[in-house]
This record gives sequence, structure tokens and C-alpha cells, in this order.
Amino acid sequence: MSDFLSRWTGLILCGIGILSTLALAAHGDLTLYIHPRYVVFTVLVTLVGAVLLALAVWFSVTRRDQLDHDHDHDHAPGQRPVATVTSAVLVGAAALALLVTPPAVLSAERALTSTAATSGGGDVAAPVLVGSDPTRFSLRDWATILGAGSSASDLVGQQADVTGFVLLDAATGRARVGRYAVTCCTVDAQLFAVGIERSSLPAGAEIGTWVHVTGTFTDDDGTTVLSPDTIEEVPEPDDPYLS
Amino acid sequence: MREGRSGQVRDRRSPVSTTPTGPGRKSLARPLLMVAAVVAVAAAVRLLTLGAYSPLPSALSDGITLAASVVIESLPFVFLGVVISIAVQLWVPTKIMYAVIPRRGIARRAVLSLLGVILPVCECGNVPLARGLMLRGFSVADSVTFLLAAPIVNPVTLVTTYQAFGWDDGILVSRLVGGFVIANLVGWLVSLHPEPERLLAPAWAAACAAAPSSRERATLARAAGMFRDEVSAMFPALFLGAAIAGIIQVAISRETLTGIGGHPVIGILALMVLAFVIAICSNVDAFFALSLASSFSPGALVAFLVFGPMIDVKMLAMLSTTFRVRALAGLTVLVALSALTIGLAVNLLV
Repeated sequence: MSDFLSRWTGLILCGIGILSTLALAAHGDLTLYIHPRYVVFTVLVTLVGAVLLALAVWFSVTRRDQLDHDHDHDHAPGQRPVATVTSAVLVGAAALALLVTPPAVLSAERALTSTAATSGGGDVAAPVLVGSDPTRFSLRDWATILGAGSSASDLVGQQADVTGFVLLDAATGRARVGRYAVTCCTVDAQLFAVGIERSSLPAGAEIGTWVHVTGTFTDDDGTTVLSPDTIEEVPEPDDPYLS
Repeated sequence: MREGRSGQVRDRRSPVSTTPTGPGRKSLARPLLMVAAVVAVAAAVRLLTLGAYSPLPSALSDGITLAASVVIESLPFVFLGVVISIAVQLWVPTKIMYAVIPRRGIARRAVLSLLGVILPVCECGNVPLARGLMLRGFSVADSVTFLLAAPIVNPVTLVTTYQAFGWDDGILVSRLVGGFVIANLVGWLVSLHPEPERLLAPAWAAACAAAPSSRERATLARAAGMFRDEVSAMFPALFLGAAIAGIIQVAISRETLTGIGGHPVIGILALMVLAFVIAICSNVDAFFALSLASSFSPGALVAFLVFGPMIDVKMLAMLSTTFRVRALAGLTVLVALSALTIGLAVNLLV
């Protein structure tokens, strides 16, 4: 077993990574982990990696004698049990995390403990109210506009049309609609959120419920919040992260 | 190529490898069929579970998502690094290397640290590449210099840093110059070490010592063997690093660090810890830093942008395949102090 693992762990992990990446790509879910602009690059290079891995496995099996002397043996004899256990745990955990666990969006619970960002961030141009169609603004754009100090009176007549998940702050009783933005991969996800009138939320809406809101901004006790004209519960969108 | 290292283990393995099975079709069919079956089952499981409902608690689910995201993001860059590393070892003629790269000391390291400009691979891909350089006979100091500088001076990093910051606050220039200076400083210090091989993990030092000086013929089988060796070393480290990064990010709220804000000294330390923890790719970390720009000093941003590409949890895991733990600790302290100094200097000057 330990011989097998020390020989194959890296290749198995490599295979798990390739399989997971290609399956996610085929299913259109790769953007749950990386920014859309990297999808083509990732898939192409992963395909090259798959070919190389297949060659490596092929030569390992067919020319075992010739290549055996090349084999990577990094473990001193005394460390072998530890190394074997580590390898087994790594392979098991990687298989569970990358092959069995259904892909998931970062949770709204995590968002509750995050500070929402207030400036556009990343490579996205700052929103300009003048001359643009505000109904095309995302939650990031609105959060940036509000973060720059615009109040309800600056935004009179501006119609918002946004989709995000509900965030309820137990301490203050306030409600927000939030959405993550990703600049490279999910690790750098940042929360953008805009306050919303809590009374307007659909019945049964809880933390993490996705809603589609159209409405205008109003002043609620010194905070600028979204006052919905329409608000409806919607399923999680295919592109849950703003990009 | 690695006879020396395997020389140590050949005795232990010999009963297996010298068994005269003979590579007949029958004996090959079984292992290959098994591989195919495992791949098919794994693919079926993945495709069946892709749309399934996940009953996991949110913290566990987030941890898995974050760790998986680090792996999936790094995967193509590791492949790219391994492929370039193999190409450098097998196909770049020694003559060209000698013609282009100065022979000695400071000039040699300065040129090597700029090699990143033509090899646009970020930090994960640099590890296999630096290992390839060592196997080609480059000294430890040369390889470390390349390793530290390349993720910062690479063109993609420079373009994205420019997109994010332009020429504001000298962040781009400080990052480029800072990365170059730290890499060459560390390289110079390593070159003073009387026995630089002692900085290397024993198995890796043996592999380097055994690397043939005159190169063998480049065959597909040899390239495949090198790919296997590099993948065997890199992937366990990458996965371990990604898992640790995922766990830390769920355990420690990012806000405990970003909340520290604009203090000219503590802010720098906070962003360096953040860079260490989130293990973000150097090609795009400028965009992430931009989002912190409103609450942190330019010096803190520069420290983040200089320290992160050189040292983070994922990098340390990957570097542990090559360096001793003590060497890595020294390297981390050295780079951290240098990055802190550069951050402070930027805050004083800007």
C-alpha cells in the first residue's frame, strides 16, 4: 500500500484535479471557481495536462523497468508510515472535495460576517450615473455609488434592477441584498451589498434567499436603502458571482 | 537523470522492479484496464453529483469551495510551469544558456531574476521551473533569485498592476523594484552560504547531484518520466497548501485583518499576513489589492504585492518539496523583513 501510494499519489491527485476541472467546464460550472476570462485558458492547458498525464501513466505501466530508477522517492524510511497516512488522507479528501461534493456558491452566512466592499474593485470601470442606463447597474455598481457618498436625494428617479441574496443582520434588524464579485478565483470573492427595506422582503425570505428587485432609493433613518417596486424570490442564478 | 537518488532506494525496491514479468500484452492489459475503470467511475461520480443538493454546513461547504478554487486556479499554471521546466531541461541547448546568461555572481543573478519577463508564469508554475534550473546545474542562489523575482517581474503581473493602479503612489514601480531587489538580496545571501546544498531537502539535493552533466537524448518517454516526477512532487504539496488556505480562510475572518486599516506600520503587517493567508495568484493580486486601497496606506499595498507572490501558505507547501524547513523559515523571515522595509520606505516617501 505504502509503495503504491508513494508511487501514485501525485498522479492520482493530478487526475482528480483534471477530471474535476473538465467535468465542471462541461457542465458550465467552472465559473463557480474562477473568473470567466480564465475558462478557455484553464480548459486548454488542462487538456494538455491530461494528455501528458496519460503519457506518464502509459509509460509508467508499460516501461516500468526503465522508468523505475527515475522514481521520486522523497521519504526517508523512518517517515514512511506518516507519509503513507498523509498521502491516503490527501487522496481521500481531494476525491471527496473535488469529485463528490456538489459545487457550491460561497454561503450567505459567510457574507454576514464579511465587511461589504464599497468601491468597485478589480478591473471593472467605476459606474457613471450620467448618460448610462441605471437599470443595468449591478449590486457592485450601486454599492460603489453609495459608498462614494451618494444619498437618496442624489439618486431620485434612478431605477435599480438587481439580483442578489438576502442578508439579515440580527443585531441591527437591518436587511441587505448582497452578491459576491470575483476578480480571479473564488478565494478573492468580495461581498457587495445594498440596504433594502426589511418590510418589503417577500414572506419567508431568509438569509441566502435569492431575490430579484426593481425599485428606487430612499432614505431610511439616515441610511440609503432600496425601496422595491417589485421584489420576487428567484432561483440562484447561473452566474452567482459578479465578474 | 535521478539515478543517484534512486540508487539509495534501489535495494529496497529491487524485488519488485527486477521481477522478470516481461512487458507482454497480457500483463499490460490489466493495469491499464484498471486505470481506465477508475477514471470512468470517478468521472461518472463527478457528473452525477454535479447538480446534486449539498447538505453540508455552510462553513465546511465554504472551506471546500475555497480550497477547490485554489486548486482549480493553480492547476493550469502548474502544468505550464512543468512543461516549460521539461522544455528547458531537454531542449534548450547549453550553448545558448552560456551565451545569454553571465557566468558569475551578481550579474548572473540579475539576469536570471529578469528571466520572468520572457517566462510569464506566476508563482505556482515557478516552483517546477526553478527546480528544472537546479537540475540543469544552476546554483541554489541562482534558482532562488529566479524563484522570488519571476512572479513579480512577469509581464502579466506588471500589466494587471498597471491596470489596477496606473502610476499612482509609485505602487507599480515600488513593486517591480522591490521584487527585483529582494530577490537579488536573498540570492546574494544564499550565495554566501558555505554549503548551499544543505538548504535543500535531502532527497532533492541528491537528485540534483545525480543530474547528468552531459544531457541524455530527449525522448517522449523521458519527458513523460520527468512530467511524472514533477507532478508527483508538486501535486501533494499543492493540494495540502490549498487545503490549509481553505481552512484558515474559514477559521479566521478576513475582516480581522482588513479592519486594521490605515496605520502606517501595523497596516503593512496586516496586509502581509493577509497575503500569506489568502495565497492569491500574483498575476491578478493587484485587482484584489485595489479593493483594499481605500483603507490601507500605499506602503501596505506594496508590501502585500511584494510579499504575497514570494511567500504564502501554498508556496511554502510547494517549496517544502525542494528546501529544508529551516531554510524556508529563514527565507520567510528575510523576505518578510525586506517587504516590511520597502512598505515603510514607500509610506515615508509617498
